[in-house]
Amino acid sequence: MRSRALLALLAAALASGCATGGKLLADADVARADVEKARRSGAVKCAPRETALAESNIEFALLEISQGNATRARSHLDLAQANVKKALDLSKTCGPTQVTIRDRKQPPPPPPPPEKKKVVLIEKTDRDHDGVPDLEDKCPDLPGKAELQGCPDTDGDGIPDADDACPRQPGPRETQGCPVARDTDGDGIPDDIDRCPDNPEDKDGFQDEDGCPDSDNDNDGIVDRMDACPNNPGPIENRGCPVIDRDGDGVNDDEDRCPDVPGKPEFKGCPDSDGDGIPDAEDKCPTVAGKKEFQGCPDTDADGIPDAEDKCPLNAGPKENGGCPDTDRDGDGVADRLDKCPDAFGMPPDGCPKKYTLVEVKKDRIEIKQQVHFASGKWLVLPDSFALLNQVVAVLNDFPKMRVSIEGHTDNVGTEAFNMRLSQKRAEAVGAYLIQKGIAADRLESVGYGPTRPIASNKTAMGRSQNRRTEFRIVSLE
Amino acid sequence: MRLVLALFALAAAAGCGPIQSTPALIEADIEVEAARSARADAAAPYEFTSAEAYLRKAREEAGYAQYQPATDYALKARDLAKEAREKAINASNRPTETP
Repeated sequence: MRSRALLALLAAALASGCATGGKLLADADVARADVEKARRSGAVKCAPRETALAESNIEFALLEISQGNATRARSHLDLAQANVKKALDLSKTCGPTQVTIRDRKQPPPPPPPPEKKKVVLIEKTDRDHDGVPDLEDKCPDLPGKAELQGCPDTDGDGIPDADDACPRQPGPRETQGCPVARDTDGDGIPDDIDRCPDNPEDKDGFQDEDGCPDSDNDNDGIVDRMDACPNNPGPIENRGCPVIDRDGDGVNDDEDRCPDVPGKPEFKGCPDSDGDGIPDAEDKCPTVAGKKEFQGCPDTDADGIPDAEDKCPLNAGPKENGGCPDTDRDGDGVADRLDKCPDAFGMPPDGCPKKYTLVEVKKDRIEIKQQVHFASGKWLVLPDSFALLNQVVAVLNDFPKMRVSIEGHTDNVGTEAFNMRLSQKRAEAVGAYLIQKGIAADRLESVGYGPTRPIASNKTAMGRSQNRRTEFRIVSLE
Repeated sequence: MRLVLALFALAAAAGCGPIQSTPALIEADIEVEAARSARADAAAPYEFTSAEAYLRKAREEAGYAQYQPATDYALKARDLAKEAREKAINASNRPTETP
């Protein structure tokens, strides 16, 4: 493309140079003809300096033309023309006038006059014999046409040589008498500078001066009429337009919503700095990965409250508590903020305990206010303990998810093996009573510890009485 | 000595233009001045004006390092100056014409 432009420029320069040279040579010809005319009119005698300067400057001009110095040639020609004009003017007045002197016929009988009288007649002259009298001939020493006032028109184009830039080549007046170059393909570019004289220039604004049609200006293999960017090469995938990707993210600028910042194709070239799948433009927290539901902001403790609004961003908690975890001092499963009795194990929804007369629900156990009575040395539950056990049944019904461990203990009287078996049987007997009252068996477990976990001294009757006991330990509430 | 001669010959070959044109210019200059002294400008104005013009152009061409045309024009100026001078001398030797 560049070389084409250079070639076109060179061609134009050459054409221009040739045209200038031709004009200069033509002017030199005219000046020479004028000098000849002046010489014939006696200019060497009448205007010797002007003639000398005219002749020498014509010679100098020719030398400069041959050396390619148009400016210097022009200045010599100007000098030559000025001097030849002066020479012509001066020679008009000093040149020899054609005069004919004739003897007048003498009368026959004469008294002879003392001396002969001479009469001077001035005739119309036509020095160049072109049929135009010198008085009307603008070029009296050069034969010419009458319609051109006696001046010559060598090439016969109707323009006198003096006004004809190309006196030896016919041409119209519009081109100062020089011939018009041919234009075979009719594209307005003459054949001599038309690189494609037989193919008209397409004049699409691209290299229109070279005369050649350019069906694919940008040489990208896509013809201009199909090329969305005919002057910029580009692949067919991009409709002939150049692929421009300023930020180099692989998304072309025309599809890149963020053409100056590298981004991801799924976000149309826009960035996602924290990589959370939410583009920075839509991400309220563009530098920290977050969730879509929080406009890209994080929720570290995953409690559904974004960190920015979470009073305890590292500990999950309900919204009602500002995102902080609930406390439950009494461990009854009712959060302190909802627990009307936060320090007493109670039941939902207010977290307050029911008023039992024989039992009390503690955090870790169902505390009984009486002992369960058994037949001596046996595991039969005595009827006086039924009321107590019925209240245990009521607690278990109030806390339907509560699981308890029924633990039987003895004193150290008797063998350990006996006591172990007895405590186990008694725990099971209590459990059987509770099951009988409708409590699911899988909520209960029965364990006999025998004398192994005393809570008082076995040396006293009082201590031994305290050690013989049944306990209801809460295993779980959920 | 041989080396000096060889160097001179080399210099002459490389820059023979000025070597030829400079004497021609000097010669033409002398002739033109001689013609002027003989009042050739009045007696032979055509030749004298031409000589001056050619000498001026010869100097100009030498200035552009165009030594060949400079030499040619200088020689032409010299010849024209000679011719002008001769004409002037002849004119001054001619007896005054009586009317």
